[in-house]
Amino acid sequence: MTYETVASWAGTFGAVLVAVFFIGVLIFIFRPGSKKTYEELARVPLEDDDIGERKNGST
Amino acid sequence: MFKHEKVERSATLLLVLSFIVVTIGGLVEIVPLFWLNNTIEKVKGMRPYTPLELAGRNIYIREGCYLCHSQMIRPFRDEVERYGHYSLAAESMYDHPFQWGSKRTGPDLARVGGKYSDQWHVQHLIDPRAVVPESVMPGYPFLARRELKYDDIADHLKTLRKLGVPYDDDMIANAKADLVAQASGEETEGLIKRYGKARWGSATEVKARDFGLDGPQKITEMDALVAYLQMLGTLVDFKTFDATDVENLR
Amino acid sequence: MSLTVRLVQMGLLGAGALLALFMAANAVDEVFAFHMWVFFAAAVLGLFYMARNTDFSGAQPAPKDDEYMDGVVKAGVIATVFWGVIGFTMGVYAASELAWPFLNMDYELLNFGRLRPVHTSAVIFAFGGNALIATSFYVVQRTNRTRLAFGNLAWFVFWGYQLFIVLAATGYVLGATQSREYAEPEWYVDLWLTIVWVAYFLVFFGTLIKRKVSHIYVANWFYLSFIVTIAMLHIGNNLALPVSLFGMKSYSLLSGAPDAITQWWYGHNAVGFFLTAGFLGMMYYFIPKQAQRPVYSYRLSIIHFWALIFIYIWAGPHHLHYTALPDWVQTLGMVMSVILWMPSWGGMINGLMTLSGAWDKLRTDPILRMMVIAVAFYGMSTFEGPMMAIKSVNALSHYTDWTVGHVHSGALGWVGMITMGSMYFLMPRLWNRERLYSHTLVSWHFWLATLGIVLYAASMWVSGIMQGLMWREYDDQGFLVYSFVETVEAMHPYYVIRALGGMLYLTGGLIMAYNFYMTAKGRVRASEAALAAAKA
Repeated sequence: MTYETVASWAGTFGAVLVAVFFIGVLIFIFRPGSKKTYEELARVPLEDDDIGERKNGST
Repeated sequence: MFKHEKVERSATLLLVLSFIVVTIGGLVEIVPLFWLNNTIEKVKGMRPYTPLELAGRNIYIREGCYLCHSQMIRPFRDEVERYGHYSLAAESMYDHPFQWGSKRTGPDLARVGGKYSDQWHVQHLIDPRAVVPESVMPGYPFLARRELKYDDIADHLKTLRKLGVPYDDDMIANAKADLVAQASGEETEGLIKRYGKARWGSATEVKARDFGLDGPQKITEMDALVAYLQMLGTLVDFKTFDATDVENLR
Repeated sequence: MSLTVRLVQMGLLGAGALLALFMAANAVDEVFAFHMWVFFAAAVLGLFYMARNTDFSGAQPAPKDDEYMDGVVKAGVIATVFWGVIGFTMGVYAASELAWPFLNMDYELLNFGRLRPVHTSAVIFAFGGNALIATSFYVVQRTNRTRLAFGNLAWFVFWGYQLFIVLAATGYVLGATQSREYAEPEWYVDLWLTIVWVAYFLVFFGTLIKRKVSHIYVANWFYLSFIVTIAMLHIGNNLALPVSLFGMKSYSLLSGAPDAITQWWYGHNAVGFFLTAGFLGMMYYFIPKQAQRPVYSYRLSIIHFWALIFIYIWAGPHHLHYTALPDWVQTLGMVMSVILWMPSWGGMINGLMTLSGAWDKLRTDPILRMMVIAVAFYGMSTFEGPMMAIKSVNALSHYTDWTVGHVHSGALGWVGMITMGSMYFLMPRLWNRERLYSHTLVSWHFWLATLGIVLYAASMWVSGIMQGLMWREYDDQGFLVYSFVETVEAMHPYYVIRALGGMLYLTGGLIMAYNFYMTAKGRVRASEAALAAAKA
């Protein structure tokens, strides 16, 4: 394996592979079914103040 | 079907996946440098630092000189005219650690060796603005006052040998004697036999003299630092270096 | 905590003290001996404290599982403010040395070469690091609704980390350095940090494991990847062989070009994971909290996370353009640096758009304003960075003050502002106060800091580009126009302006410290108390 073969592979097939993988990731993350889950998740930090059984610690 | 939720629900999976993701870039960029034969050129003249130069280099590191001075000349016309031949990877092959630097508040020092006299360096290090009025360099008068500690210099050579620097038994056994010989300029035959151009094919001979101008009997930190500065970039014989040789194409 | 655990901990401290004593007795140089005495003193103090606070009767102390562990977060906030002021001061002094070199005093302990790493380590690791540890402990408990794992191990992390800072800073001043930028501490200090970092990882990860909610909120991902990656970088970059086990000096395992790429793999990703990923964790928690709105797009944050951590690691070689590093590594580093612009701006948009529909809050809430300008500076720096990574731009900018200006627009603007915004958020909550001592003073801090950054970045742009152009300027005879020292002379006015910018930023930091002190005392500034009462 020489540097030239690796470089030509990376510049063509490798680049396409990474691009396809990335687009796949985008489609997967933005699939419509997951909207509700993510909206709930985004509210996690906002709902941690008044959680009755847990209070700010003294130590 | 795989769901990203799984990652969000499992701390361990998140840990493992993110660790894999962050290792890839480093592996691809760093590991090949160890076995690709085009990382370091074939040059003549590189030798390990003499004990005195090594001690000087450690002072250079200790004082943080690398924060304002690079030792890496880029292959541009202005840099080559200002500083000399562009730096080769081979020239720092024995540098543990490298001193390429990242900032030029002061000029590049990769080839400062031999450009100025010892007298100039000593004066300049003691009071930079006495020599260069516009300079913003700190003064280092204490180097001239402080005696160099070199009792353990052989241990330093031994440590570097373990890391691959070609110090031989003879060099280690004579480390202290070589250091004294180089700083005083007296009884230098052994030093030149071990580090001289006849053995390594360097472009210049090992310099041995009272670098710090404080008398040959007194070996100060100034002696060591100036000895180091005066050899920087003087080893490789560029008359024998062919940048277009296929071996040297990077 | 049971008495047995307590006794084991004390035993470890005692053993550590003895080991330090043994090392100090055999030390071959003064710095090493001094540092071993510091270790000894720290261990003895810890032992003394624990002995006084242990109930030896064997009674089981009441478990505190229903409370968050906030004491260590409070300590972290104090340490952040304290080290911030120290770090800014060191920066102002070092900057002034470049403008007025007599300040070096020809005295080794004050020389620029030794103070500069004190400044960088103080702001990155002491100020930034304490902020990261404190906020990560706060966030991981709140978002996972559980107390920190492993009892008082979090306190070991806190004090162990302070010890690391003291060892590093005193080492630089006394001349112990590996000369690896942002990783200067010598081998034994590195080993100590490794131990502390493993403990930090255990506390953080253990808390994630015992969480009371099903999902792990995205801020925690950023914190986790920061902790793990810094561990990897720290170990990889600091491989070295000490000359003696009883001395400070070591030689790096690698040399020359491989050593350089390893250092900048570390150096760039210290920026990427210490100064970016960790602080993005802060952004994803504290901006939604302060704005009282959920993050703009949670999905975007997922993509932001994976793309950022994947691409960042590749960008290191742009620190070594046109050097003796092989060309293919340089080109790869450049391409990945330019791609990195996209996830960075994805994150920036996500942070800014969190305020969509609530922009009016910026007028009334100086803390939120601080957080938002931090994100704006993040966007600016992550645009400037990829641009400077392009080889032809880098040919001009490398080795000049432009790089210094770039770093500071990121460090002062992004890291500093998001940290100080988060600190203002935390202060009244941790000390159970109604509000901060003064919001007007926060406004003052905001404007002083912003003006300081503008002066700093603008002066460094001018001086950097000017110096780069002067170095390469030829006359019509084909000779270089300027000697090097003429370019140094030309920098003087900009170095003065830069020092001034730093002073403004430091003044802001001092105002924060004062505001913090008064808040902790429970005071409210007189005129604002009336105002608050009038509103209510």
